[in-house]
Amino acid sequence: MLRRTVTKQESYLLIAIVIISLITVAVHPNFLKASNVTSILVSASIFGFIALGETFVILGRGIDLSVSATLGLSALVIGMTANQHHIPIVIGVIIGVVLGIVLGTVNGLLVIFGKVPPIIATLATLTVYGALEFVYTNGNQVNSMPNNFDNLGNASYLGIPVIVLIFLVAVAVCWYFAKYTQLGRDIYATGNDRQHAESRGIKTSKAIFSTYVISGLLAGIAGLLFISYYTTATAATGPGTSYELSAIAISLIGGTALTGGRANFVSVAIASVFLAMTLTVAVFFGVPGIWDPAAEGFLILAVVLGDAFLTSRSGRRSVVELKRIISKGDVAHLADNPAGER
Amino acid sequence: MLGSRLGKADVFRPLSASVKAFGGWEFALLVLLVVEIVAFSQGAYGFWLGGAGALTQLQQFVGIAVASMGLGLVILTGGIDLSIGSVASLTGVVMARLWASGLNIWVAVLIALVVACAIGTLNGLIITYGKLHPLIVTLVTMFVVSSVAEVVVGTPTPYVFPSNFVNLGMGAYHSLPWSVMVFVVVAICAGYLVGFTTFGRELLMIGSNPVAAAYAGIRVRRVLVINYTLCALSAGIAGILMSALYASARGDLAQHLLLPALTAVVLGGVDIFGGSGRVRGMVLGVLLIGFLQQGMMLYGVNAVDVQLVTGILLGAAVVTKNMSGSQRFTRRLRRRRTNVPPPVPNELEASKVAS
Repeated sequence: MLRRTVTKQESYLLIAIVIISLITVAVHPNFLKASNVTSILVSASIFGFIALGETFVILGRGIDLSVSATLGLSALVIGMTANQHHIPIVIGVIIGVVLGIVLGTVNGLLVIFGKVPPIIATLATLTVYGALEFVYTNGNQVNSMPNNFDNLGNASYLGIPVIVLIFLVAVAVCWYFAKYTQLGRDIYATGNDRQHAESRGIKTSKAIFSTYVISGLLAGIAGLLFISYYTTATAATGPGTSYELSAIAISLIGGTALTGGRANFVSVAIASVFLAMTLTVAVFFGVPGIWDPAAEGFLILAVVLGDAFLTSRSGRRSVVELKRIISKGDVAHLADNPAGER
Repeated sequence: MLGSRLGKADVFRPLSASVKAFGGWEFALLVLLVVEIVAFSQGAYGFWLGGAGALTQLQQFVGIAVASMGLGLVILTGGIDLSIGSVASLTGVVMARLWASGLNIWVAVLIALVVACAIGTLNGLIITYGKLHPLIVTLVTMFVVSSVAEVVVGTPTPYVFPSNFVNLGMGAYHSLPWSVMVFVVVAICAGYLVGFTTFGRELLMIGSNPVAAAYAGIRVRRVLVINYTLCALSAGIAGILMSALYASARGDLAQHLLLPALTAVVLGGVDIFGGSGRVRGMVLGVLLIGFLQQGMMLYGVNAVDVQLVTGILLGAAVVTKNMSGSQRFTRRLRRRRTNVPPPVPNELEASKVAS
């Protein structure tokens, strides 16, 4: 029982979060100020949103670099439209969702029907969408948002920011979708072993295609949250600040296997808080923001190397042992036997 | 080239057959290149200034050209190096800082190139011994190295370099620019390496099947580490050439190097999954992309739109290549060319069983 709890990624992360925040509070008591905690949680929610989408893609053994540009483009389109036409929030949501789905579909089409490797396809679309941001804004930028959007960004319910609540709902939906729906299980199975899944009658192309659409969709909604909280966006929002790296970092820190087939959306959510907090702590200790990407990079490398080490070192027998232990948990059980429960 | 012909792996892939059906991918590139140059010479003012003028255009994108040679070597093995842009930036920045601290400029260049090689070696070691996918490792080094470059460059940015160094970027020997000569040397080295050496054949073998290559006695890890080092070296040379061309060094000097270089390699006919490709094609791809970018800029298209076109081209190139490689497409094409009715799959199976 103890062993099972300890092997879970989220407990490691929670311990790390507690330790880091205790050390920081000891040195800088201001760290626990309500405004600081809120800003950490809100930025964790916004980047957590794109990380959820990224997790789906990595789960299907792909990678999506274009999420940052999708977020930026969605934020810009919503911001510009809101300022010009004073649209209600519902329209903003629709714009974000539709834009996200369209951009994600392009990625999916390239990967599935164009047979382009995901890294190349999404690198190309990252550039294209990023350039579209410049084309769309034509040198302008969003400096403020109408009240109704502004209110969404700053509103709180029972003392919890609404954006954080939305994020929690999204995590729950993703968790349920991945675990209890046909398509979600297909994605797990496909990521785990595509050939095997195909031979069991799973439409693997459809599963992989849908991961890119989901990723685009979540990035599109993240754009709405971004613009209603920060109320400013320029043509460089997204790719210029390398949010794709944050998304990949959060996803991998959350225990998503780069080789596909293993992911836990709850620990991804915790990882997003971990990353946002670590970067804020770095600011408290006077580390310049220019090191942020490097820090994210090192975290990715540490997590991935650790993962590879754990899965390769201990020969075939202990891998079997490990699988047995993990299969007592929830997620890997599905990955092991995706079609067995149909 | 013998080596590359071996590496084309006619036995394994239907690709080469379809390329032949197209009259050759490289021939198509050549035609496109000529069409492009003629079109821009008509449309864009100042594009065609005679043969020397074309070389001056080449001088503007020689950084991309040099870096894509190294990137091509990595892609031949089925890997990828996303860090070439930041490695190029860092090389320029390190060189500039060392020079600003009083070192001879050429010694500074040499040390900066050693730094670049070290990063490449590190990439290779992490990829091979950590058993990680190159894309995640080089994604990480891309961001780490660019952070380091921004920190190293400091303020004020060093910018007044000695004239003989700036000459490397902008000057020419009897209308043959020095930087273009460097590119020619790098390209010949890459071509020799891939086509005529054991190392080159090993690269292609690893690209088409790393497990088989290991069983065939190829020291896969060593070859890959050397390969990533060479890639970083070429990125470093590109960084030096670019800082000589712009006569300045910035932390984001070569930020946009990766996309055009990758597009050039893929466009040049190198299989993105590794195992096939020729340096000849890569050179054609680079010229095509480079002249396209220069021509569009001279035509008055802004840099962002040029990037947009490059991105679309990258996607389109891979899709086209895969389409032409896919069996169904090739079969349809052949059928149309020869008017032979397609074999019925069941019959085929039956005849196999019968024999």
